[in-house]
Amino acid sequence: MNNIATLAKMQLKEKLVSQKAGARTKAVSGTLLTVLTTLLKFVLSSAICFGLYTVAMVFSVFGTMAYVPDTFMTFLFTVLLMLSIASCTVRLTKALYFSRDNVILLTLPATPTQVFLSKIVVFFIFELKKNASFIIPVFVGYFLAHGHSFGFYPWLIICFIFISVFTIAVASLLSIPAAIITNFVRQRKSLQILITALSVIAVVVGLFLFVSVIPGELDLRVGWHTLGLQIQEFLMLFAEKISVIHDLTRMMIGEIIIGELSVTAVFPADVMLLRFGALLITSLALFMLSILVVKPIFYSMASKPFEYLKLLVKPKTNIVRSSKFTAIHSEFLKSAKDSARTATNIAIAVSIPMLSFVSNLIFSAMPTTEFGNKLIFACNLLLILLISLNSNSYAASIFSRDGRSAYLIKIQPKDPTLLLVAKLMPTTVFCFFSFVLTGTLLVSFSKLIITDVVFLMLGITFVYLAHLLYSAELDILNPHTEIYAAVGEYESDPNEIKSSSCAFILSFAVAALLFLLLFKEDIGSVCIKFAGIALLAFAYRAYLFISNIKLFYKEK
Amino acid sequence: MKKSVIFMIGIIYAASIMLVTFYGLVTEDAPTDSIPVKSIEIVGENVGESSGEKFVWLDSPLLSGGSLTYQIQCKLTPDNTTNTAVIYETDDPYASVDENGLVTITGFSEAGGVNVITVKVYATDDEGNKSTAITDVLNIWYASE
Repeated sequence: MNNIATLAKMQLKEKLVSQKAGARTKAVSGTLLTVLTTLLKFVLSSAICFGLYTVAMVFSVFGTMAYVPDTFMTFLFTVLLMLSIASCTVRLTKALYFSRDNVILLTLPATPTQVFLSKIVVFFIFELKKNASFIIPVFVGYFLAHGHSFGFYPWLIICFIFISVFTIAVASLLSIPAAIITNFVRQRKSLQILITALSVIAVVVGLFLFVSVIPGELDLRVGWHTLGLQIQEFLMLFAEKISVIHDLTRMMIGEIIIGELSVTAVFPADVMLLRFGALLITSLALFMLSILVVKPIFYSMASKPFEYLKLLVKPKTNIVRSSKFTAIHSEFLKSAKDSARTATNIAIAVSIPMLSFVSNLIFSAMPTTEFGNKLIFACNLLLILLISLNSNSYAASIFSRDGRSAYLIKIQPKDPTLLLVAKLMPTTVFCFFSFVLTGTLLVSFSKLIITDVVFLMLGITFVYLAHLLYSAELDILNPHTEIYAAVGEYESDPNEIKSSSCAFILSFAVAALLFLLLFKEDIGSVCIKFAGIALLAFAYRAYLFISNIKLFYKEK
Repeated sequence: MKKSVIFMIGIIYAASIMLVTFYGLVTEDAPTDSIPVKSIEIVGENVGESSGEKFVWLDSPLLSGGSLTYQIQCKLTPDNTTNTAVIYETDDPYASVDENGLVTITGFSEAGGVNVITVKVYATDDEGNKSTAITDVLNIWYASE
């Protein structure tokens, strides 16, 4: 038991304690900061969920009901649970079998079972932290909107402790086939390409199926009541089919009794405790099963991912390229070899035009006023900027991810600016492709003419590049190479959080500003002005980026 | 991109569609500019005019205990007027006219002779009130046995 606790503390220390460049903060204040941050996220998420439930009740999204039905909570909890299990499986597979710290942990004086259990304990803590930020607030918001009594809140936390155990137990069982499949796919490049291509085709086909459902004329206000009743019917059918999760949901939210003026949640102790007992037994049984199944094979599976690297690779002729081109070529090669990174790049390249296409198709089916057309323009801009700027959060940790080899940029006999900019190119190329496709779709499906679209997309491109350089600069001036070197991931990277926050603020600010400008000028001149100002902003950002790099690397 | 960021973008996406739905669409009961009636004219195949008044002969005679009907047709100018309501009135004790202009004659003052019923039609204003300045008159002649 001591070994498990020590191993867990070792792993938690690296992941929970925040570090500043060049100095370690005290462990206690670092942990306190993490707890406070989690609490803040919990409060914020609960407030957002409460707001959404209130809006749903005001707009009668669920028909004539003045409350959110428990069948909706069942649907929501099912979706969140499935996503949680899927996400847990992926992350647990990575943590158990592909984590860099396995190389050290498996050589320590502890049995493989102790290493396995320590990883499960660490994962359990992170799962609870994630649930506290994301899933528990969904229920807390529901309790606040429906006036649940205080006793439901601690009851919810107790239930979620065991739901987390259940999720991890299922994920650890699923991690075995997931690890085998991952190992198999990682060694076959053609299979990776095939899976990526099939995923993109599936998304595009799904998109066309969805688009075919959108009617030629759409006015949600007219059919709102009918839509609400249809939603109710669907939810009731869903709850009937997934009765186990419906019972689990009602165990947490209580039995809802509809009065004349309000709804009340009651806690029938016998039924609730019976359901809780079933959850407890199932979670613990699955957990024991996962230990029994994984224990004999953990060591061989955890060491296999590193062993396959020993396969012989045919030597290739070394091609001498220009010194400037080499950096760019190597970054593109590294990006292509990182399948997770490639998948993310493709997802961003496809998602912006896809979402833009769907939203403009919906908007073009609506009978809009002039004010509505201005709103549509602002919404299009907001959505494109939100996705593209948030994709830059990867740039806020791109140099730190090199870990202990980040110093190589400093000692290479080349301009560090070129080396640093080369790292940003692979993602930028995918984004440019995405902007071109989005522009083409906007010309076809929105009310904008081609010159307006060209200037709009130019403006978006310059804003994207300016934010990209800002995010990269955050990482250059405040790197976290030690954390990435030790663990490979930094969940609460402050640079990524700053980049993401700036992305949201910038997107809303630009969209709001252009929306207000549309009341004074026509769309054409607004787009031209936007492109001009964005170009100036990018030029200023680029100048700052280059100056800061020269200063940081002490170039003369 | 973190899952929380993807979730927030999804909410903003849905919210933008709702925003356009509730604040950017044409409303059905939006008030349109009213186009007043300038003139009203009784028309029909058998309607004639004499001394500035319209008249029509009913072919069938009115039998004792029976009734005769006649449908008045009106033409409003301009064609795209928004005040399309018409008011029909008659003071004759032997006839009545409904809101659609159907005249029903149930009696006569002179048996075995020629009788006449006078019906007045009035255009209406924006509030639906009778416009005494925009009017026409129809005299319905019929025989009785």
